[in-house]
Amino acid sequence: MTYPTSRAKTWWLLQALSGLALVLLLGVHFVAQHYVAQGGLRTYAQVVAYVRHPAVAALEAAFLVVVAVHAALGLRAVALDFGLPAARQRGLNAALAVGVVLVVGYGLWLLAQVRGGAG
Amino acid sequence: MSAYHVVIIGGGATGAALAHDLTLRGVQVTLVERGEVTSGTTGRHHGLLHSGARYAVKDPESARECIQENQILRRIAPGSFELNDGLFVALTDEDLAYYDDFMEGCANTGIPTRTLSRDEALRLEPNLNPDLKLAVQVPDGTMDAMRLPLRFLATAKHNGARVHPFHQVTGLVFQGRTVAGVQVRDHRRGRDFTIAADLVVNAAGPWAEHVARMAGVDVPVVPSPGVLVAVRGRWTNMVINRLHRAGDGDIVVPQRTLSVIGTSSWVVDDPDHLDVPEEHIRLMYEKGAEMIPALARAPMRAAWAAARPLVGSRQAQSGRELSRTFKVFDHAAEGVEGFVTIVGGKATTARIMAEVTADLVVRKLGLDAPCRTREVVLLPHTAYYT
Amino acid sequence: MSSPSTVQLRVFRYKPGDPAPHYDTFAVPVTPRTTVLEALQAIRRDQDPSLMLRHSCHHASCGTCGLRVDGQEVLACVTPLADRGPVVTVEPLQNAPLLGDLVVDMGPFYAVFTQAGMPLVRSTEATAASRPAAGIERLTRFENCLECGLCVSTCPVAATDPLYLGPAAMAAAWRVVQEPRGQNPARALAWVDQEHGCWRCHLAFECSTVCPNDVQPGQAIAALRQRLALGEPAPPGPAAAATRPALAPTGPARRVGLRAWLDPRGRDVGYWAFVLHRLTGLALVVYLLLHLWVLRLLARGPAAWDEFIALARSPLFLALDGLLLFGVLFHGLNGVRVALVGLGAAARRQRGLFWAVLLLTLLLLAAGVAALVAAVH
Repeated sequence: MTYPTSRAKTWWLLQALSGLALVLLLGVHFVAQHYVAQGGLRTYAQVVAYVRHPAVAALEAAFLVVVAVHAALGLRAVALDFGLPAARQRGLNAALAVGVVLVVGYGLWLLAQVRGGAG
Repeated sequence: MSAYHVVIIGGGATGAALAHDLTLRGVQVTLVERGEVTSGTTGRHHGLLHSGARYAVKDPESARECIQENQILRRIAPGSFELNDGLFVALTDEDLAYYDDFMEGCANTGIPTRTLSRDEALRLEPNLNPDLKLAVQVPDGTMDAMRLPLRFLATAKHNGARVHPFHQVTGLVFQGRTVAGVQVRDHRRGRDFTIAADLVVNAAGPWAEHVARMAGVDVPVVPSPGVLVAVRGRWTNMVINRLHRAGDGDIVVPQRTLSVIGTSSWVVDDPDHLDVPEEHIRLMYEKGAEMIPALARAPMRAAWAAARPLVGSRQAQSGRELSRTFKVFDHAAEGVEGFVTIVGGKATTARIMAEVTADLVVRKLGLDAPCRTREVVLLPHTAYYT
Repeated sequence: MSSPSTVQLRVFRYKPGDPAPHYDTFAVPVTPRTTVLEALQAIRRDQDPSLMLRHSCHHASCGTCGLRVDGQEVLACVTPLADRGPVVTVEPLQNAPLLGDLVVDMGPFYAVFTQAGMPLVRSTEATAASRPAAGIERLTRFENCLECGLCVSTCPVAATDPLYLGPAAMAAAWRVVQEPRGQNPARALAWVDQEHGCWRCHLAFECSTVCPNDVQPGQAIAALRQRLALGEPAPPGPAAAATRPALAPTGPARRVGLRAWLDPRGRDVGYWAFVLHRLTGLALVVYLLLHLWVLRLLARGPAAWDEFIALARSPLFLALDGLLLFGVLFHGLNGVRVALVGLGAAARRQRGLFWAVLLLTLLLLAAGVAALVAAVH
């Protein structure tokens, strides 16, 4: 028999792991900008060229997902810090999940638009 | 539960144990205390669960009370004591000369002893003065000065007693020459009211004389302060006493991460004015370091004074000459009915003080209710608050 | 001994029924040795007998006289009054129901504390029959906890979360895990393993800073998390109690609330790390949403975007970029510190780690700002 894993623990670990992932992704992000987008991302054309690189697109998408999850967990932690009662935790979880889906969906749509060179 | 209602004045160890005892006997109890409970003498003692050995030679009555209560308390308050035992250490030839009297006193009063050689004692307590001649092991212990009385109060409360801290007695209510209640001031709500009682017990410790005067009677209580010094570091695990006649700075009680050196002894008029003379602090360090040299360098955590409520005459010089035993006064002898005073004693003997007092109280009320406090195991101190 | 000087003691006053608390100022004579407790006793004796205060042992052993002196949680009996300036403010502990004046109700504290399952046993000391360990004078034991409540008063999470188990109780739970003495450590672990338990702690370490007996509750909480997250699976225990026992209210709760995040008096670096982490975190959430909103311009084509870029090179925007960079760097680096410390690694070095985080943040910030300025010119 194993000790049942509590949700509280899972959330905290997910927060810590997503945070560490963000630190790494941010590092890679800067390195990629430096090497892939030589000369910087100043003009529209430069940005489009940059995100058309498949690795960059994957990186940006991953960054988006992780940052959205980390932010949602952070907001959840603040709500609990202020004594959110157990009865309302499910409502908060659902609202934050919807928020994450909306942000990620919007971001991916935007990424696709720019990669397509819309405008 | 009988219809009789007793008011106890004083929320120290004595009042706490008495509230517990009377409640178990079926009496309704209200305890009033002018400040927080245990804020007078009770909280400030050195935390020694006496074996009685300190009094074995000069005050055998106290010694006998101590060893009997020591054994009862271990049974009814499990977890409240460190069962660390105590050592009486002989440092000088003069101390050695006291050894025979000491052993005889312990034997006569029923205190178990074990004599240790210098090496045996140093093996148990490496921080002792290496010049010691020998040591005697006795069943002293360490207790928490506040939490043991809290257990009496907690148990009393859960059995129906009312405990009112921050209620100061401002006068007594008389019906003729009979005390019929107390006038109190509630410092929390700022109101004055009276509490009717079939009997009032004065358990105000060093303030007992002040309370007795409200009834127009006098009790021979001498407030005798002592200075105690707590230093950082737990330098021994056992209670260390000097093997000689009780004197200044001859006991060190380890308490958590502190070592408490005690005490001095003098006499005051007003237990609300207790100084901590600088020279007494120095004396505690000096005398303590004779037994445990490292104490001389241990940083001080606190120095304070506590007023013992000793039974005796105002002519007392230092208080050392007065017995540590206790006395119950039925003021009917002076023509005041319904009023009883209990003074003297020590934290270790609070339960037997309560038993003797409660015996008198139920006799005066005409009840036939035996004492049960030898058997009833006390609730934890946390139950006082919850 | 020098002759007594006089200090003005500004004392918090409140009695049930008062519309609001107020402060009374008392002049008290002090010597170098006079403690805050002695001064308060003298006020009660000579000036105002209605002043309510708690005290018992007078040597930092009973934990009864916990107060806030100039905003910092202390035991009044071992806090000298001299050398604090001419006016000293004395207030009751926070995050506990107020009974009156300087007295709080310890009921809720003990209600949670006893849930931790710490046995009321002090008899495990080496008795005379056994040989005490070498260096016994340095040993600390959980019984070192005085149950004074200073840690709960200073805790920024207890300030806002009424369901939080609190530092003292969780330190007690860790003691049960370390040294069960017949108790069930799995029960203690299950009890702290809840949203308002050890995972709610944000490692401000104020509890460890104010603890008068070096119990280090913050480190104990980190150790509990380490055990729960990385340790061997504990055998399943009975279900954990997830709520606070209901006690009849005795007075105003005096939970500090959000103000605790912004009250600088007497706080240590771990506390500032917590506050900065929270504030930068919330700011970054706002930035994330703004950023995504601005990026919609990319979908509108080159003209809209280049217009924005021109705007983005204005000094105001660059300053905001600097601020953003600070937030990202601090939140990220302190996040690493929180993750490490929060899982028990280097919990005793959290203070040093904070300074390392701050130093690295400022260095990288300087490098970043230099790069920004270079990019613009």
